[in-house]
Amino acid sequence: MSNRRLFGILVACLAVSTTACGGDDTDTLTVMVASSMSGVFTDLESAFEATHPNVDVVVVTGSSSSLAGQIVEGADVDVFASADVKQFERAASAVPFDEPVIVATNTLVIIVPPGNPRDVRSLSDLARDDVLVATAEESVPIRTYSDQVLESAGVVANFVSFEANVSGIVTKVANGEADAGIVYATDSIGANVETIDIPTDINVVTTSPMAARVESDRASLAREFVAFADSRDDLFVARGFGKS
Amino acid sequence: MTSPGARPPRFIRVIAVVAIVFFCLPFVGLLWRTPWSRVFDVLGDETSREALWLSLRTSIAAALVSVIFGVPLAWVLATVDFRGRNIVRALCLISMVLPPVVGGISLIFSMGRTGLFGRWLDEWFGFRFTFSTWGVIIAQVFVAMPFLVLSVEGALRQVDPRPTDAARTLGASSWYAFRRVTIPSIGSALIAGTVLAWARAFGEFGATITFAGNYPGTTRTLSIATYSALENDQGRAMVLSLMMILVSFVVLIALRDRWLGSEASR
Repeated sequence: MSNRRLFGILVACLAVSTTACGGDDTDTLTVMVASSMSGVFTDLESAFEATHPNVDVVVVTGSSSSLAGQIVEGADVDVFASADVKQFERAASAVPFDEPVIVATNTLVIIVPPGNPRDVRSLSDLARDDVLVATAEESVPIRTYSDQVLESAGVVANFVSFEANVSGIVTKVANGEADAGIVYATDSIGANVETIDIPTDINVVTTSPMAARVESDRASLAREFVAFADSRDDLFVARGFGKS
Repeated sequence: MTSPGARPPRFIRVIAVVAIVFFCLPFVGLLWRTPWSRVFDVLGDETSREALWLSLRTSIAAALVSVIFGVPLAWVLATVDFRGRNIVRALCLISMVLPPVVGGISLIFSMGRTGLFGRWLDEWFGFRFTFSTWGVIIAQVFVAMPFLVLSVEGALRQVDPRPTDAARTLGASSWYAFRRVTIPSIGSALIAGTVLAWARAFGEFGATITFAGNYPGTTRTLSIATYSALENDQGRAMVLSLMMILVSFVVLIALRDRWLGSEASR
């Protein structure tokens, strides 16, 4: 192949790759969502798009702290749904958001690998030397919540790893590398793990605030999406969430 | 000293400058946002020093392991003509293009406590890679060794076979001839490969956190510490990044002469 032809092909590829999306008049709504709610928001996305043919909802997932960080840094976001109030407020302190609605509630459970090889039965077992416990970095909401629970139970857990997000904990436990972890009840659904309940008197009920960004170019559409999400309790409940 | 060949025309030089700017701009951005007043604070504290020390130890170990296993691998790939050699080579180099997180999860499946091979280590010796410094080194070797293999294999293919043949004719064993004749003639490629492998290991993040986890002192390397800091203390992350750049920069510059071969030094 001649150099000239190769160069032509390269330029053509570049042109196609940069213009493939865009050009038509769909509105793109960027929704940043804590990883724990990614399943529900995929459902919400298709439900919302079914009634709004000219809207393309793009769901961006990540740990709430990393999403809040992106928003603080000026990421182009229309709606933010955080797994905890703290990270929502961190984002809202830098970029104005509407008054949030509490879109879902969640509780915590202990997860163990299939077959529960270390015979973990309660929170106090997480302090055992032979039980390797995975948790998340301090900035990740699940860590704040599980520290609260462990403190109420008076347990100093045998942590061996501080993962970057909840899915890191689930991965380590599902594959039997860690013997236990504490995650949201909803994260255990569909994962290859067994769950052990945490007594309700020491468990926490987490709330997930969600709001539209005030200065978004698509603010009215964003508010419509928030109201829509708030009205679809059925989708949240189907994925194991509670409603306040 | 001028290199052979024609000087590139002006438009090539302009494009090259654009590329240089592209590489420099992120560093300028980083320097611009670095909270200079905190540099000594952050560099002096225990957590940073612990992470730097761990990164240095594991990346040097990973580079050494890469040399010990990578040079024989490259030697075989370059000189032994066996069926399926291309497939074997591809398998050995694939971790270069694999998302590191996928590499990490594959390591869990193979060498993790419940993995194909790892379960026996755990059962027989009570030894496990996950959540240990050994796991960090394994993850780094997995992603870094291909750089060394590529560099050394390429050099071995281009090396003039006659001196080695002469040494063999004079009665040297093939191992002796390789050590005393071939290795010296590919010295710069070997160093280049080692430095590249080291650099890749030093910056490794995804495979490490996925396979070995993240615990201060045992598995929290400088790159993991930087990522963690990014989420709650960005200034700290900037200072840690600066430290990584500084260490890598010093190593790359210091080894530049031998790396590029003596004719390129200036």
